[in-house]
Amino acid sequence: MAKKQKLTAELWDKMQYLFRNYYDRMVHAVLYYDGLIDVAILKDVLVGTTEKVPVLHSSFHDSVINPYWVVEDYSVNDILTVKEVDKALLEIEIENFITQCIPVTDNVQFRMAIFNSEGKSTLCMIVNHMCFDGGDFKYFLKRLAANYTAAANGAPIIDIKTGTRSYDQVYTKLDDEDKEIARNLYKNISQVKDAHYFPLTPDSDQDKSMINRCKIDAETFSKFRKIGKHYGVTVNDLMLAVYMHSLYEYGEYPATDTVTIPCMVDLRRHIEGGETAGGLTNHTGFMQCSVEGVGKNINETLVKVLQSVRKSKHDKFMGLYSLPLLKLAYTILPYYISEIAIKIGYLNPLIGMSNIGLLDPEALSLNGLKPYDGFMTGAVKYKPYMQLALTSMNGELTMTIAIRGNHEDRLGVQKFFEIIKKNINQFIEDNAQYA
Amino acid sequence: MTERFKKYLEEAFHVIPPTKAAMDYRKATLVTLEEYAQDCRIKGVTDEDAIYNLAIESLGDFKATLIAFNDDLTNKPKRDLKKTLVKSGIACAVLAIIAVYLALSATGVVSWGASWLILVGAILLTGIAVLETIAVKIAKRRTFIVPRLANACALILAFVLAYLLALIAFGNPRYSYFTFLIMVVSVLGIDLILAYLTKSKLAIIETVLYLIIAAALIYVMCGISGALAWHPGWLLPACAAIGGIGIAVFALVRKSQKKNAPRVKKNEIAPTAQDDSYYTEW
Repeated sequence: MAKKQKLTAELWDKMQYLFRNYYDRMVHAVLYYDGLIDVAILKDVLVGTTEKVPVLHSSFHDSVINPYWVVEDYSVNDILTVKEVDKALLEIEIENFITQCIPVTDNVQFRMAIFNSEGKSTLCMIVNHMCFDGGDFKYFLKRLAANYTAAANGAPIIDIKTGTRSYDQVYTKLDDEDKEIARNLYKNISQVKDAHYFPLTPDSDQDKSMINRCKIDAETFSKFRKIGKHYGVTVNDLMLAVYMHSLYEYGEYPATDTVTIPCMVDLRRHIEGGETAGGLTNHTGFMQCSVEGVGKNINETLVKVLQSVRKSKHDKFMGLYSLPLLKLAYTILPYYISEIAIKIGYLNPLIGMSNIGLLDPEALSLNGLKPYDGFMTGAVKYKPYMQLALTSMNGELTMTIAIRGNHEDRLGVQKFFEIIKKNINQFIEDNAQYA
Repeated sequence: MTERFKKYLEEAFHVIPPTKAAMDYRKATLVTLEEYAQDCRIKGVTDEDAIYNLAIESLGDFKATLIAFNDDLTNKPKRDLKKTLVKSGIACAVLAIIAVYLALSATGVVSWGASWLILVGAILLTGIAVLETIAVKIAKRRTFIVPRLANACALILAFVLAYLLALIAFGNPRYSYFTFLIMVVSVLGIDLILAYLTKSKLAIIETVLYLIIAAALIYVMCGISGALAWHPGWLLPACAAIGGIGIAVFALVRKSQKKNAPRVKKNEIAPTAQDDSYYTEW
């Protein structure tokens, strides 16, 4: 029997594996297509893609000294499920599929489902966060769509990036002097002394993974963005302000308390070649947003948010802190000890935000078949952690909160969404002259 | 607005020499002004002239700031000089110690067999100073594991130095190796004090362990030196262990009593509230 190929477990693979203590390590996407997907073509494309990216058909092996991936055999049936479903049951099927967790020891690290209902397909995908992050997930879906289109037009050549998965690509855009500084940024930025929790019930047997969703309609979101444009602020800043304001309201935090929310940052901004450089992997950092008390209205909270995020925005090393510290720990210590050491020093944020951004229907169209709706979201957080993820498509904004919880938690999250929606509408009303 | 800010800054920066640093500062100030203006707009100020004036006022006495900035630039080489002086001072000290070592040894004032301690002593003292500095610096951040470890290492170095000094001064006296047994008792003892001072959650467990280890080492030393008979001297560590367990049990009982004690609700109506004595009760 031929010896199986081994792959190096990169820094972020190990870190994401450590995060199994805080969340389910899955990244999720759902795309609703306005027609039926050709499963035969999709299967060809999936096999071609999986072949080109070995980590996607590898099992992860924990080891005391140094963990590694082992490339495994697989069939397309391990990856793809196709099912005809009743429209009334579609959302239940989607929820059931996307809330599953792929064990690290599986032969494949991503799964896809096509649910066909009333002549329309819904594509669902989950992938192990150890393989890649939201940034590369978007890239993966775009390449999948482009390769599908090419295959449908008789050009079955799979084009997907296959380069290095190493974390240190994030230094490629820096000049030698800055590179030297960046490689010495040992500061532990996870050490935030903020004990504010998102109110959730205590752990119980009824808890299960759930992905709570809420939409902001295109008209409202358009007005919201227009006001932001008038003030010269990004959607990320606006949403951070609304999120902060809503947290104080829902969590009943004292108005003068300091609340800190880490916002995920795509480190590909530091990589020469951006999203197409290297291979599929994780390149995600933190940007801390800390407000010392809530404003009387969203505008005031927005000013506080801006005053905090500007420090990060002006920092050319944004998101690059702590990487040398992690590298050092994984280099000088055996894996088992380094994981203990990092666990002691790492404080997982209790409340977070991830703006995954725009899902471009054109780029995601399968041979002309466009998605009319969809979203992406991060891992399902275990109590007491939570994160708000944002994606926009066709002018609409989808907010998701993926947590392990029970019915009461679901109701709480829905109430929180209502508060966010109320605050967005209030902000639009307060700034109506610019909408 | 940006153009108005630029114009203002172009004029203002004439008071200081046109250096590269001044240009960077000018660009940074423009960003600050623009951000201030952005904040004003979001807060609801709509009059652009008012925003401009507020932004400029936010700079305070900008002419004085610029002059201070320039002074700081010209003083920077002085700071660099200070750094160079510190580095040179360290180098000189190292050379001086080596020179003293060679001079004393070569002239026979101190024998070669003893003078090596001058070098080793200097290294150990430097190590102690560095470790204690690290301990103090990190302790300021209210994290105490590293400071306690650094402090323990510094104490170990101090004991090693003391042992070497005693070795040279008195030859190799009987029981000199006790220094290292005393070292363990002292290091753990001082660390225990630090555990209480820093309110360590493990202080009780450390107390129990300390009592057992310290008693065992004292018993060994006393036994070897004949100060205490092996029997019934063994009662010392045994009693320390029992005492330690007693302290632990007592601490646990107190903790559980505190936990179970009914909490006095601060918003509960006081029993004396019905009459005026409530208001005169102090």
